[in-house]
Amino acid sequence: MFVSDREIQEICTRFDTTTPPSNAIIIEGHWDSFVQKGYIVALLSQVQKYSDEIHIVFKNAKVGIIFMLLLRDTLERSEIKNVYVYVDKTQIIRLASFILSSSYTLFLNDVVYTDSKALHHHSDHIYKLPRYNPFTLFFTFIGKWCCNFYQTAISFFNFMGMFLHFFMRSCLKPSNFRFKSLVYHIYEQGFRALPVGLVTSLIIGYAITLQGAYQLNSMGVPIMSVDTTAKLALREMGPFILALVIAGRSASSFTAQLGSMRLTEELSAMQAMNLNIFYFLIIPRVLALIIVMPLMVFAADAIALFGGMIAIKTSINIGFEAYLERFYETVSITHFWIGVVKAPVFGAIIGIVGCFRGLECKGDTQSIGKMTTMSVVNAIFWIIMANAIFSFIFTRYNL
Amino acid sequence: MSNIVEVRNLTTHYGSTLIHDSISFNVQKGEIFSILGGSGSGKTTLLHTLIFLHRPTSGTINILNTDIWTLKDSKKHTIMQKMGVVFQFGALFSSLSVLENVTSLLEEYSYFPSNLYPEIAKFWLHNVGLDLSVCNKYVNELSGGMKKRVALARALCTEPEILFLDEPTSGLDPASACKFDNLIASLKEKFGVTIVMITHDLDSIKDVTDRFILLDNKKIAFSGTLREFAKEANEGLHANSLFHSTRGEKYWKNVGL
Repeated sequence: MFVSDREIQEICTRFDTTTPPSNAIIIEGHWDSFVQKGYIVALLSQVQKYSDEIHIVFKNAKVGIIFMLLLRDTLERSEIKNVYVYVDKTQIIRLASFILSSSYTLFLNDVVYTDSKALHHHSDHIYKLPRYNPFTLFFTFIGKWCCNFYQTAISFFNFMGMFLHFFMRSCLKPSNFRFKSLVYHIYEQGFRALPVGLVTSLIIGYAITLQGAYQLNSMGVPIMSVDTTAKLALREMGPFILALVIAGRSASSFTAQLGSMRLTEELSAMQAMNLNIFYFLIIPRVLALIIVMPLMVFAADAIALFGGMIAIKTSINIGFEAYLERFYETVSITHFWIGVVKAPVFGAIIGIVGCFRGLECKGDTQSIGKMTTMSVVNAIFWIIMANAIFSFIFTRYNL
Repeated sequence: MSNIVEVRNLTTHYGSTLIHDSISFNVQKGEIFSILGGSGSGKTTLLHTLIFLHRPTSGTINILNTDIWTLKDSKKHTIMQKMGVVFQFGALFSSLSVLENVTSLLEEYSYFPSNLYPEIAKFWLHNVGLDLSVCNKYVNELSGGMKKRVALARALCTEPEILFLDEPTSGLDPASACKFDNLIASLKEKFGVTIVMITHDLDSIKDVTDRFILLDNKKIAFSGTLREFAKEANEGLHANSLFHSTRGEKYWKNVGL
């Protein structure tokens, strides 16, 4: 692409002996990649004024490759036959091969400049973007999706199998449980999540009770609002809302943690050092959520009931005492246990989905983001699914 | 030759740790200048102070006759547009393809018609020794050496006057490292780019570097050419530098005597 130094010198010295005509375009100053738009427009409009023949003088100019490409494109479009370029600097002569074109003859300091003078030419390396037909694209998409789904399903079964296997082995030999790590995760995923979980429960307990109370009041049974809201809070809202909050919080954090461990090859290092990632990373995380979720549900239930109490007091003026009396009369302890029983299952779903997606991450930054999104979405989906199944089972047995 | 980078009495802290204690050096226009030092000697921090990433505690840095750390935010782009940076691991944008990575700066800041960008990107990709089939690949599909080349193409795409390279040959096999060195040397020859590079590859110091500084113990232990260094080292100076090892000795023992 570059002319040999000797020739460049030769061409350059010829600048002094040539005299450009008076109507030549003079290019001065810096023309790097960040030239202002006005200059470019001005240059283009100048070039378009010429036909057949154009004279361009570079006077103390500093130009970039992109400028030369622009010049070539413009000259090609303007149907000019002969281009006379006057150059005083070797730097620009080096770039002259970029303004070579088959649609006009290029004169460099009054001498014809051709391909042969350039040592290499880059146009041999023209590379076109591949084009796809939308039909093929659609089927490729479907095929990839199915293949991907199949592979994910297989690896999920693989993960679950390994998880259960190592969990059983830990149960047989409890020294495999990492208690320090377990306690850390109970604190981090449980205790630290209490404020946000409880505030959410309070707000939702209040808001839903408010709606229920007004409806039941208008039907003439205001006291019924205690039954409905208390049962609702204990059976559904407490565990479910809390699980959604924890899913958003812990599933994403598990995935991001494990994903970045994959990225920094920590997981490979552990594998190579014969440190079992299930004992060290996965079982403590899942187990921590299984242990901590019922405890948190207890707190969330209490707060949701309290929210309901306030809502009933403020909206239909049933006092706290009346509320509690009615509560003891009509709401049995079963409802509380139903809520608590669901909690560890939700915890397990969150932990397993979060860890599984974390291990699915490839070694690039993009996949961490993608997998984190997927882990939260999947965790929430499976929580809703499990909740529906529980609901179905409990109604079937009249609980 | 004029100085393109002038560093005067530069003192840098990282948190409360002193990294550089009042160091000064110049980089001349059109030369290949290396910053050499052992691990943890503050090479990367020094580079970061040169490219607007880490504010020094005191001292001045003049790049193209502008004191870069007294520059207003609104004026910084004038200097930034004249320099290109290649980070150690490429730091390519993982959400963009190779071609988009290379043209990213032009897309954002240039007023030239955008149909020219792919052509210029391909020119640079070809020039840094990459096959053009990489154009549509994404960053995670590239090897380490290819990432470095793409990063170099990205830095060169706007034809900077100064090019900063952070350990360009680290993690490359000797053959690739040698090719990369030749590439750097040819960039200087063909385009007159001034190159400031961090390295601890002594081969690159020997083959392509015009002058280098040796950072040691928060100061500049040596500044000059390898020949001058060999002379000093043979006189018994620089006894604790990274040249003073079986690997380093061959670069100065009995050289330039």
